[in-house]
Amino acid sequence: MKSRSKTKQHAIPDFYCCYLLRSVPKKQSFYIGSTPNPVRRLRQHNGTLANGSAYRTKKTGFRPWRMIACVYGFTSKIAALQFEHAWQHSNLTHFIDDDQRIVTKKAGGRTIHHKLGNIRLLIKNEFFSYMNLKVHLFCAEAVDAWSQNKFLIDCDIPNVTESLEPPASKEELQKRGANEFASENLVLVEKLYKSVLRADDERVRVYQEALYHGCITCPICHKDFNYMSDEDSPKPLVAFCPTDNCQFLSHLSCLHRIFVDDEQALTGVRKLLPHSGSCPSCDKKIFWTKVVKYSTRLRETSGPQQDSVPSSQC
Amino acid sequence: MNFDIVQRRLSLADDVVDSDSPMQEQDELPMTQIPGDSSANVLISTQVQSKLDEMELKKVMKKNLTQFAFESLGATESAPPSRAATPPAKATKRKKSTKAAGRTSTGTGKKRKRTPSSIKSITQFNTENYESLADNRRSRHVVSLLSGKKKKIKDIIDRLQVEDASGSPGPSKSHFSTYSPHEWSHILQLLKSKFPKCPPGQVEAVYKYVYGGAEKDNVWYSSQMPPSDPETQASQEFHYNAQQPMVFSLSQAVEEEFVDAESPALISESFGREQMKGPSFLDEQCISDTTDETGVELKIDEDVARAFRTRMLQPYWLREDVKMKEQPGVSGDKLMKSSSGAARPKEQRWLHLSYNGVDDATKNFPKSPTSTPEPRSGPQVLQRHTYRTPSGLAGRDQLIDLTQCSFNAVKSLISPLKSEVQVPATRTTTWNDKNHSRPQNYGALHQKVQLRLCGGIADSEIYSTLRSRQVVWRLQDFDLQDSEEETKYQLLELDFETVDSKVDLSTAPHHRLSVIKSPTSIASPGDLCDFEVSVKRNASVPPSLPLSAKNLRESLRAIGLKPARTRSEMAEQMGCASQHLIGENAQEQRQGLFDQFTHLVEQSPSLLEKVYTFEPLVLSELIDFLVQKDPFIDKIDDSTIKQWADQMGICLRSAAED
Repeated sequence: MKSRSKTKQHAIPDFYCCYLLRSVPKKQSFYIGSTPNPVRRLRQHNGTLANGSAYRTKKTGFRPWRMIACVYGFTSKIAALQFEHAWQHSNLTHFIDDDQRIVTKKAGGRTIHHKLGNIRLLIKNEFFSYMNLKVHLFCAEAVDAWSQNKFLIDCDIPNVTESLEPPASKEELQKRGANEFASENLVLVEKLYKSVLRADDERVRVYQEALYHGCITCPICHKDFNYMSDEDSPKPLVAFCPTDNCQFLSHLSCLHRIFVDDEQALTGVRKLLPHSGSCPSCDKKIFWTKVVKYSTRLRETSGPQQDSVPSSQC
Repeated sequence: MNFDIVQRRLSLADDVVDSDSPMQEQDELPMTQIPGDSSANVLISTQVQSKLDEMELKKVMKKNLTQFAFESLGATESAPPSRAATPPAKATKRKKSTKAAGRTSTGTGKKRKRTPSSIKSITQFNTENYESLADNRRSRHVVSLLSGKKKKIKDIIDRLQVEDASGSPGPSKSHFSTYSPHEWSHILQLLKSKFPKCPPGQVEAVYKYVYGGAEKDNVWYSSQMPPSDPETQASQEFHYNAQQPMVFSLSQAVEEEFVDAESPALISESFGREQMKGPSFLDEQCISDTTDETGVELKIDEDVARAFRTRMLQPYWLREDVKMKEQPGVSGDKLMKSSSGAARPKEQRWLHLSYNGVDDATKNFPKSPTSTPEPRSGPQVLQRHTYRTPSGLAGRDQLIDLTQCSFNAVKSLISPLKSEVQVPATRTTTWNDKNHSRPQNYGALHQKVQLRLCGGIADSEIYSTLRSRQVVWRLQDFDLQDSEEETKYQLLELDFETVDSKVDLSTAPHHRLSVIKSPTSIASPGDLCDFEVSVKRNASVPPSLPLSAKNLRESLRAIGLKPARTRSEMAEQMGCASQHLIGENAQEQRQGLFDQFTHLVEQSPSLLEKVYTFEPLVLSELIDFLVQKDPFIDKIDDSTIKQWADQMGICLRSAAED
């Protein structure tokens, strides 16, 4: 049991993803895992880093591994773990309806189509739909399979991005060793990882500067809050509009109420979590998850712990 | 060898003649034996039977031929076949071939082996009786093929063989009873001594009823007879009225002679209870418990008699017993025991029957329209309209039985919604009716109550004490005429509407109405009683649901409650559910539950913040919080909460360790 003076406050992790590995030598072998740091994890799998590789990926004939798909944007570690478990046990998970399952047997569903299809199914589930997950594909084959949508799963994910290695002819591929192949893949992964982090860090910095102004009035409830005060009272969560050039800033709770009301007006159902809403200031559609991410991040950084940038967790 | 010993022993034991006589006995073996356990022996269809007959014929032929071929053997063999030939002619459904085969097998060769079942040396037996056994086997095989049953046939054949072997059972099987007449009389003596004495008159009456009595006791016959003295007839009626069972068949309705020994079961407990309560004022006129057949004649006050009669009338409305309508006899001469009979139903019965014994002539009176009703005066309680609590709620009149789905505090066994006559023989309220086609709603329902009007009653009485709200009287259009009834009557509809409107008594037609009784009344005769009909509350479970445990469990599961082991628990759950939840079906109720959860979370800002910042919540803590806010949630199953959390986007986790 770790002894801490205070339990860590929750914050949406900077980056947490579930990934799909494929063995380079054995093309039919896949591996599903989750991690906050895909670069490090991939190296662990491939044995580049000393310890920490998984049992199944340690097997001799399977290394090196390539990451071919990655789902990121999870709002908590536990949510990512739940997704990972559901993905691994897609024949049993309650997140997928029985009549929609594409993997029905324990021993089935081992093709890339199944794996990718399950992503669609899971993202379709309303629990995960709140999180605005993004999918990134790393190889052409995956892209093909995804666009093919073999099982015709009705779920359009606007956030599917891809990054491919530079196209090479077959001979060249054979010439390159497997390890090189894998390392190229690693590069791509790193690219993705870094880019996401960087973007977020930038934003947070901007917002922190905005908070330096001290006492700010929430435009919705017209009450003040101050992130700069030295009082020990817990700082309220604040909401920034993530749109560029929009300076909107308010209490998170106030904005939440507005979004929920708006959604209720639209759908007639009162929920606790809004999917998205329009910024009161610039009127652009903003996703709730993003707002909360920055909000919790800011609370973290301005909290008594004073972590400048929360280091990525293990 | 040892067969001889066995045989000798068996003969000693069975007291049966030697081996020859069994042959003869076989002749006498009554082929028309009444099968003791008939199902075992009665098996074969006619088709199979015909096949058997053919085979039998063939065999007989064969045997007869062999008879000529081999004198020595044929002598012994022919004897049974010839005899075997005769029985088949008689037997209706029998395995003749096997029986014959059995006989031949036992008849051939050496002395008969008695019980084939106790086989000493199988091989010897088999080798000696090879042919017959083979026939046996063959026929058995054929029959089992044709009928499709192997074991049964085997059993039958074995039994036949046993019977053949033992040879005795024939006569013993054809009895109906196991006792001789002498024994029966002895038994009767014993019964008489052991059991409380019934007057011979009663016994006789029962006997007549069961076994048929003299012709004049016959219902039909008596219906053809000319009407007897109206006085006695009326008195008889009155007497009968006092002890009518709640439920009776048409024949009983027609039949004046209630031999209540047969119908005590029909008298419901509550009725019995009511009768027990009985008119107290009559108790002083109680008669002694003498069992004289001549009976005691009492003079009874006319008013008292009338009053009594009103009290003891049928509590169910819309019943076609005529007798209710007619006045009790004026003269008290022949009125006997009826008043005292009110106190105890059994005594009534007895008295009634003893009366029967006395006066045969007046016993039988048809429901003749010629009997004129006495002129009535004053308030006559002719309408029976008691809202009776279902027996399940006996003693808890005011309680609502929540397991019975709906929340009506209707106390009647009869559904007020049904317009036709109902026989309230059920224990549960028939309110929970499948035929209930009215759109279910949250609020109260129309409750229509039909009352029968009879003339001669002041109507003011009935209006004044109505405690139910929103009553509207409406006259039915049709005019129901009961052929057996003398008086005309009309049907009124009583509407209980949900609208909060005042009771408009002025709209009631000016008809004479009968009084409505309620079981809680202790009113003196002629008094008005209130009846209460409460409106239906939210029905959480559609009334068309049958109330089996399985259905209860399913509906509870559909709503999302924790599974309950026992039926009582489920009933409790259902009760709580219906108190808390609004919804017509389980789906809506579940949604209602979810809304409730959402609402509770919204009210707590800290929790709400956790939710919209995607913080994983510990499930147990969440449940504790919800239960603390609303204790009913304790009954909800965890899976329901998880489902709600999924819908809301709440991430759940198990209890944290760090």
